[in-house]
Amino acid sequence: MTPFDFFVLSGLLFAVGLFGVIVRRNVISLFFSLELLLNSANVLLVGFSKLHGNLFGEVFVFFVLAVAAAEAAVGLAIVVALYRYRKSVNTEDFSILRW
Amino acid sequence: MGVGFLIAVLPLISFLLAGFGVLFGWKSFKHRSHYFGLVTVGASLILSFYVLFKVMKGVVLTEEWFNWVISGGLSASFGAYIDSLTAIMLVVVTFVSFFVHMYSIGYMHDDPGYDRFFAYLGLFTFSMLVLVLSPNFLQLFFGWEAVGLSSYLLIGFWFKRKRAADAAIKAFIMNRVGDFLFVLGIVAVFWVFGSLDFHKVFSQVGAVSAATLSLISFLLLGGAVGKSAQFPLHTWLPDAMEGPTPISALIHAATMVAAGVFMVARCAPIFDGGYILPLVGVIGVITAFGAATVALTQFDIKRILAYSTLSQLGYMFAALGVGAYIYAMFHLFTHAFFKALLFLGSGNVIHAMSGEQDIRKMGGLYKYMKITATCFIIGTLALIGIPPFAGFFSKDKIISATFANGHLVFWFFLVVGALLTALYMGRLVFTVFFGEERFDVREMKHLHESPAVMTVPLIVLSVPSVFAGFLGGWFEEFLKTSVPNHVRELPHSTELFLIVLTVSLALLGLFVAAVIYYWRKISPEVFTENPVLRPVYLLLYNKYYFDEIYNLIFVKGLGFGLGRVYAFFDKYVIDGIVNGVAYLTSWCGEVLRLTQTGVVNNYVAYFGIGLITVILLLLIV
Repeated sequence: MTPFDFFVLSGLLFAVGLFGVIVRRNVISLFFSLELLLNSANVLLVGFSKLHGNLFGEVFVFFVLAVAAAEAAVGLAIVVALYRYRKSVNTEDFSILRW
Repeated sequence: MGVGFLIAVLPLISFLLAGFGVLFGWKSFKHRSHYFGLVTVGASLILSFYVLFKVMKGVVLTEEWFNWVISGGLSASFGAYIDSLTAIMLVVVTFVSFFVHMYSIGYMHDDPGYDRFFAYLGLFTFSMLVLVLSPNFLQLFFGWEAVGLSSYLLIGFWFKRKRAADAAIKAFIMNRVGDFLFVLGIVAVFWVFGSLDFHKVFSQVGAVSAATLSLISFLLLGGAVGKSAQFPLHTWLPDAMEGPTPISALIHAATMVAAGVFMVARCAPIFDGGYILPLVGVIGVITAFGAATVALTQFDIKRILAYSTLSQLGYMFAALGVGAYIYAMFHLFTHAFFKALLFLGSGNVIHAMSGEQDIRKMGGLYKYMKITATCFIIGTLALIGIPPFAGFFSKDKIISATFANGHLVFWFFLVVGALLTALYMGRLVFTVFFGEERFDVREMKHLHESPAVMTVPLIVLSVPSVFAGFLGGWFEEFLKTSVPNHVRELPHSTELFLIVLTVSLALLGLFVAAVIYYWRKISPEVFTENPVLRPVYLLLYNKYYFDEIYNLIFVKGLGFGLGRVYAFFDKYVIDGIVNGVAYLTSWCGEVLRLTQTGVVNNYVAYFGIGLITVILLLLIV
């Protein structure tokens, strides 16, 4: 695999993630999409690591994974709280901050 | 600083002292305020004579008091430029002003505004002196506006009377029309010559084209026409008679209204260079003749004198128009004395009649007030131009100058004007001082000769009214140093013929007036009720309907029409812009707030769009 393939894979992952974030109304699905966005970045870091022939990028990936895990924990807690409040995880039901 | 500064500033001190007395209500000043005026103006009078004698030796005094404006190429300072023209004006102004101050002590004695009156008199005298002393156009304009202000304040002196307040506003606005042109003229002078100094401007006149000079002199003439109440801006002067009589004598007969003539004489090099002089003459002749005809039909003693002032100012303008600047100044000089005399005399009459100004309710007053009547008759003879009184010399010079310079139409109307002058003044004198007594018994008890403070100025003013004419030769020589005079020599016999013609016409006018109003052989109703003459009489009686026409055109027509246009513009254009900005902002808010859906996904979409836009921009640029 050339570094270019990593970039293409990363770009595709990012596009899929962004599409999911924009289109999906279910908060859980949003989270999945967010993880895709994060992981597209991870793929890119791995690709750079391979390109430069050292491990700095892969070390960063571990940090990102750790942060992503923490984020997922907090985010899911919020989702649970939201569900308790509104009995729904659909983003359209949480539009009280509109005009 | 110098003598000129003292002459101008002394009356200002009188104004300040009396003015502070009014402001702070100092009781002790109130009935002493005339002392300030008498002392300061008296001192100015003596200094003016001193200056006159100095100038007669051939000296031209220049003073620079302080710099007023220095800005880029424009620099103007307050100062004095005293040549023979200024010296003469100084003496005339301070002389008349001094005796008007003295007269006012008696005339305004019981007026609650006694101190205010003297404060205004001081202000006026100061302004007029600043005007005549000015070495540049800017100071001239300062004095010009300051005399306008004092005139406004004094016409509206009895501001509780609506007619007086209206007359003051009218005078001010009519003057504004002329002053607007005058300001443009001054700007044009600066534009063309790069300086406002008389000396610098006049020395460069030769290098400027006649068309430019014509434009400048036309604009300056606008100012002169407004201030000297010439046709078509003359309607304010008769109304200005609502002011106290001493004011009519000082401002609206002797000095301020002559400022226009003085200014044109001062700017003679500019006027000589342009083509505008015939227009000056035409305006003068129209005013001289028209005002004389109106004066025939009026009944208010002061209005008759006001129209006579208009007429005499018209003579001066006619003289300017044919290039006889010195003769215009000479008529100004003599006219100041006898017209002040006439107005002060009419003041005595009004005083004796307890405020009555209608000559139909007077008559036979000679018996009761011999001094006033005698002085008034002297003034009348001087005005009519009976030799050897002052007016004869000055008016005759003007009339023969128009003839000598070939303006025969001017000459014809001025000669007929001289006849009319004799007619209306004869009518005035015979109706007021002779004939049957038409006032009622109540006024008869009040009737008395005025106190000495009011008769002495009359007697003093009678002296130059009789003798000033003999100064003619000296005057001409003296003014030649500062003012040009373009008059062709006439053969001696022609000149004599003209003099005899004018004088005999004046005597004829006087005789006709006597037949109608003294011997009462012909009733005036013969003319006023005659079916042919009646429309003419009504036209004259209503002053050619100038007030009505101006009211129709400018107040009702142009004023109302423009008001409508401005109101429309204000309502729909100005308000439209202001409200439009508000509506636009509001509408943008209405539209843009629709993007605030509250749904997280939309915000992410905006974020994504923004991100892509930024990346694309970075890639392209």
